[in-house]
Amino acid sequence: MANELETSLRNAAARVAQYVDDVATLTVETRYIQVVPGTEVGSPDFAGAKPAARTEIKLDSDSATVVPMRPSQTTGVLEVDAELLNIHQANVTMAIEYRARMLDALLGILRSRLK
Amino acid sequence: MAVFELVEPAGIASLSSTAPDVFGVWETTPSEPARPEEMGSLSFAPGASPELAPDVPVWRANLPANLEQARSYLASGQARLEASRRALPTAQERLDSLAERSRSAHQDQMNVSFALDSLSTAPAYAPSILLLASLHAGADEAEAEFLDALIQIEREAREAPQKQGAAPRAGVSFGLGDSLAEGWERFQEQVQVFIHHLLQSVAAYVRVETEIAGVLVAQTSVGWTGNVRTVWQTGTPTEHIALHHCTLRLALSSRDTLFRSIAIAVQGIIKLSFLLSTPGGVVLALPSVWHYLNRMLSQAAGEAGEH
Repeated sequence: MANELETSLRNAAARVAQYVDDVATLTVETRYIQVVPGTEVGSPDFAGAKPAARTEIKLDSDSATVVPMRPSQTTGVLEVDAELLNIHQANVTMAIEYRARMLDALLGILRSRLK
Repeated sequence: MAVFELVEPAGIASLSSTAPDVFGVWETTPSEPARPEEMGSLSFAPGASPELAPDVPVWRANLPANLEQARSYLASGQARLEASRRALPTAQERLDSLAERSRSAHQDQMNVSFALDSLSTAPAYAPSILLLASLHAGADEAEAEFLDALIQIEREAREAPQKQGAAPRAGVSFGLGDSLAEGWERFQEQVQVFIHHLLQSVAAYVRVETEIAGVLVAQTSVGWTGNVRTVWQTGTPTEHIALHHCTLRLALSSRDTLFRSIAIAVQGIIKLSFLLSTPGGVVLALPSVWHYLNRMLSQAAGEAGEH
């Protein structure tokens, strides 16, 4: 029973680690929901959020980011919405770190040897 | 309401059934089953993604409007979690030490087995139960509670065949249920749920939410390969955005720690498996060993919170 459990654990970890490692694209999306002034904000409709920025990281090659732009209030020329981009960039960094941590945890199970 | 809560979907309530909190940081609560009308608006709306489905674990921070206080809660949560993470190797060593003492005691017992054989017909005097009971010497409160849980599993498993049709009786419960006699199937179901959670913790989507003064300001869904989707309310103050990022970091670090601790629990019970003589005892004891591990980690977190 113990051997079966150990084998099951290792097999499950190996399968998941392999799958995570094989996934070639990491997608990070930032969306927003419009708060209309004067309306109740206690129960926002998060399911109906609209896309604001998106990054696709192809782990074996290039990456692509769709950045949020808005017209400048003075010139009318499109400019990057820096605040939103910062939020998005923080999420991208976190997603990369998280993926690495999960892979490390999975590989840790595979590396460990029972005494 | 807890500042940090882990709301588990109905049917995946294994953590909330084994421990009231995770790492002394997240209060566990099973969620109410989603009503059909809620499911319609949350997960099956046109264009809705599976990340927004209602049946995923939700790690939620309920923060006050006072920013200083909110930051203080998050900093304290992070400090406690870090203490738990640092305590993982020690907790693993303690499980290893218990396994070593158990093996040694088992060897001693083998040497005097002739004496035990004469008593072993009664469940209370079964060698495995006597061995577990002998390990109480030198055990602290948490370890003693864990040993009691293992004794209970052994005793109930041994008594179960004799109790078919007998009236149920109360038993020691560590989240495993009351007694095998009154609920062998329930035990098995709980264990299956527990193992399912192990897979769920890696494979499923999770949602991280930040509420400030009762208002949901941001929600992030994280897939098991690291895909992330964050939804904000327009006009959210920068300070609140920063708070959600802190919540997100705390939740994802906790999820990572949870996965590592469950893996240690599984490895720990495999090492202790020779203590359990009944078929399936290893699987039945998994929630108990995780409960013991979580208690050690929570204790470390509590000590960090005091400083």
